[in-house]
Amino acid sequence: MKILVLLDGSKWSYKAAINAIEIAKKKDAEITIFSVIDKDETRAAAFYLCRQSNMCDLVNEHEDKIYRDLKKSIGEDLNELTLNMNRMNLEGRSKIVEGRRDEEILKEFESGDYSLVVMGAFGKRSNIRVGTLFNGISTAINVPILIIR
Amino acid sequence: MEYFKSLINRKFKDVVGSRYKDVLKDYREFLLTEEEIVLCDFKRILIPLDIFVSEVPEDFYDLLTAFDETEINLVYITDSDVISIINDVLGEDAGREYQAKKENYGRGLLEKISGELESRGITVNRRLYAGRKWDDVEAMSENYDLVAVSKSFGGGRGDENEISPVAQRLVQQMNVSSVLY
Repeated sequence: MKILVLLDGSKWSYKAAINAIEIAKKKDAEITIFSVIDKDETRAAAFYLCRQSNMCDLVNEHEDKIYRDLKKSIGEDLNELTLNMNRMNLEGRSKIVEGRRDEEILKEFESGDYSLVVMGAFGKRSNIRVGTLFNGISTAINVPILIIR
Repeated sequence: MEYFKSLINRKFKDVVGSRYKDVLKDYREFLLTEEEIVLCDFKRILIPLDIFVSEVPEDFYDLLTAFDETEINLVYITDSDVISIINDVLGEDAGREYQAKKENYGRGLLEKISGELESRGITVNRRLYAGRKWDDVEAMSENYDLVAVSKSFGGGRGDENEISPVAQRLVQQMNVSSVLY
């Protein structure tokens, strides 16, 4: 079994990753924890912040800072989870890429011969039921998708 | 749990300090609390089935064997609204014939999937009835830890990988973890 875990910095995806690690342990599976930093999202967040704060002269700085913070935060999550996998002697790896989220996930899925995808039920904007990501990838994924709540 | 406790301390308590409780209350959707960082215990699993579900992939069976002491309930549902329409338009004999045909298929499907699960040492219960797929499964889901929905459940798919509107809505609306296969 090869498991692809989608980590987006939300608490739900973190919970999904913990559960995926447990499944991997039981099934002696190989696991990849995968994260995409989507620059369109950091641009949108920076622009929103500049509009709210009336400091649009700093929009580029905001964008850089949000990007760095997001990368750091996801990197910390990945490190924690990798450490956890190592403790369990699991065969696993973590990966962060930049790009459009849907496209990068599908690229990883198609290149990895995965037999299970695990994701959190909600995205970072947790008021949206089963994050918008789900709609973008679920039809193209032809293995079971475990959605953790 | 020691590992998770240290994680919470490092991630949140140290960051927000004395405001931890207030922040936790106001921004609950973003903070993963100690109670929430738990492994899901999938003891009771619901698998709804209907006329549109034909194959269950091997990868899905493989996943189910990862859960300990699991009890699976297979429920085959024939659409009661369709039976009512046939009763009204073509008469009750036609309605009974329609239901019998669909349920005949359902019994075969239940038999096949039960056999696969039981051969893997999983306890299975079976049920077959006429009802409302979408509302019934959503209501039943409250009593389960996990609901596994086929992309075909409820029908209406254009191609092999497309997700039926019923399956899509169930995955969106249910309050429990789910598997889409």
